[in-house]
Amino acid sequence: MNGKVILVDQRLCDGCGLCVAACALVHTGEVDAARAHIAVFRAGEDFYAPLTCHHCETPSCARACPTKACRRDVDGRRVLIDERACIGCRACNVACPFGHAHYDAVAKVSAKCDYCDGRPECVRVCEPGAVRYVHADESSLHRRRRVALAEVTGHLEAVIGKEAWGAAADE
Amino acid sequence: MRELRERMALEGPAGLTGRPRATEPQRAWDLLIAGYLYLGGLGAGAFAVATVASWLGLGLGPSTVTLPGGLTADWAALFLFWGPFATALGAALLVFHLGRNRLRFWSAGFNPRTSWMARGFSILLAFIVLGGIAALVSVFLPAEPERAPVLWYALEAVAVVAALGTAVYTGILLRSMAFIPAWRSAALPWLFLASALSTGSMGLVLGGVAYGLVSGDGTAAAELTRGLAVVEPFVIAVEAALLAAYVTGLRRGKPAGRLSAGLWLSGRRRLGFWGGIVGLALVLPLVLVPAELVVGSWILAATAALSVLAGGFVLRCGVLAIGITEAPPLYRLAQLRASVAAVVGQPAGRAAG
Repeated sequence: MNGKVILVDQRLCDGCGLCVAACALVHTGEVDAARAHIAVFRAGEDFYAPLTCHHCETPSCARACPTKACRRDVDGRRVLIDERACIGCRACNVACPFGHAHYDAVAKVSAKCDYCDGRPECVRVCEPGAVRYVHADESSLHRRRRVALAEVTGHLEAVIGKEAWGAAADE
Repeated sequence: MRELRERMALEGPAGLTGRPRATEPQRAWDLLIAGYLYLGGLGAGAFAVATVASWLGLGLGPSTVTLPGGLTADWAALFLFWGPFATALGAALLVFHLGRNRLRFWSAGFNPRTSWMARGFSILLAFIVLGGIAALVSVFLPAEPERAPVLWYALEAVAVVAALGTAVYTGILLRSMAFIPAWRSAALPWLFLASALSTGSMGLVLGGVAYGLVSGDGTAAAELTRGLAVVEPFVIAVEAALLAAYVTGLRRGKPAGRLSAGLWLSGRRRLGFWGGIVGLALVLPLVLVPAELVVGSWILAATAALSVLAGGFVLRCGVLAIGITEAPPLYRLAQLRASVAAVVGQPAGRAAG
């Protein structure tokens, strides 16, 4: 692939569910949320988080798969399920700690995110930018920067006051 | 695009797009897998107990019939050595549970390096083939074992090892799922082994009762039943101790494990646990089996056997039904934010921008 990964910023998600609809549409031809490879986790009134496969370094799904249908692809960036080899035993579903590999009851095979072969549809339709497709190196850098910025912001607000910091940040 | 947005927004509150929430038990493995685990253990346990019993001189018959072609068959052996066929039936349930490529089930052994399901494929295959050969020889060639006793005993011994391996494997398969604390327990494979031996020997008791009714010869069946009934309370006691260790381990373990234990002890699976597992698999047979030893009634024996068999199935169903995956970090973050919001009195929602 191109060395990119999907990066989720939960704070930007407004729970619209477009990513789910687009994913299902692209992969199955119909808008069926249960068949999408991305899910929107909702907790409480206003907490949304898009959840999609992490393509783990040591993927539990691939380790549990008895047929080797689920495995890392050649360049090692993605964990994919070959639906021709998948027998639908659902071992990957049970093994994934995040519940990402799921059983497609219509296609009768297990399925999961494949980054849409380099053009993830969920990223394309996400207007708030909660789901982004970035280089793997950049993703950890981005996270560190975000955390650092949040800390600095918090400190400055505490020291000089929220309004003063807001005005300074706007400038 | 607008239409899609509206449609998904309406469906949004369902949360995880129809998939189980973080604190809900898994639903990927259901009754058919419970049947596979149950019949796998039952068949393996029955075969192991029947073989060991035959080594000790306990058995049924022989009741020979002459088949077309001059072949003689000991049909009494059918009531003893049905274990491999029960396990094969369980494997058929697993195949039935598979998806659209179920006819490629033979490829399930391709990844033995990391997958316990693939290893189990080989273990089950070894037991079904070796145990099946031993069972078929016992039925259709009852005179052959005497011609080569060493070879015969070796075959039986290897088949018994494969049977015990099958019984333990049914627990190891679940234990290999590292993120479900209710299955990760070290006690689970041994609990399933004890249950396999318990259900297996009670399956043989039921077979003995059936043989006595069909053949009209109740003496051999009564002797077999008595022999098994002497051992059964000890097996049940071990099973009870393992069950207690298993549940205690869950209660002291990770949050998802505690949730699982709560489902069994006082939650919505309590009827299955207290009535099905504790009542049918442990308490009732502990009363009926000694009573049967005193009274010698085949009705008591059959009731105890049916009770244990039903309890064993409920045990497998129950363990699958309480399998809750540990909450992912995001779920814990959501909980944390909700707690903070409750204290501060502000919405727990997303950050601006």
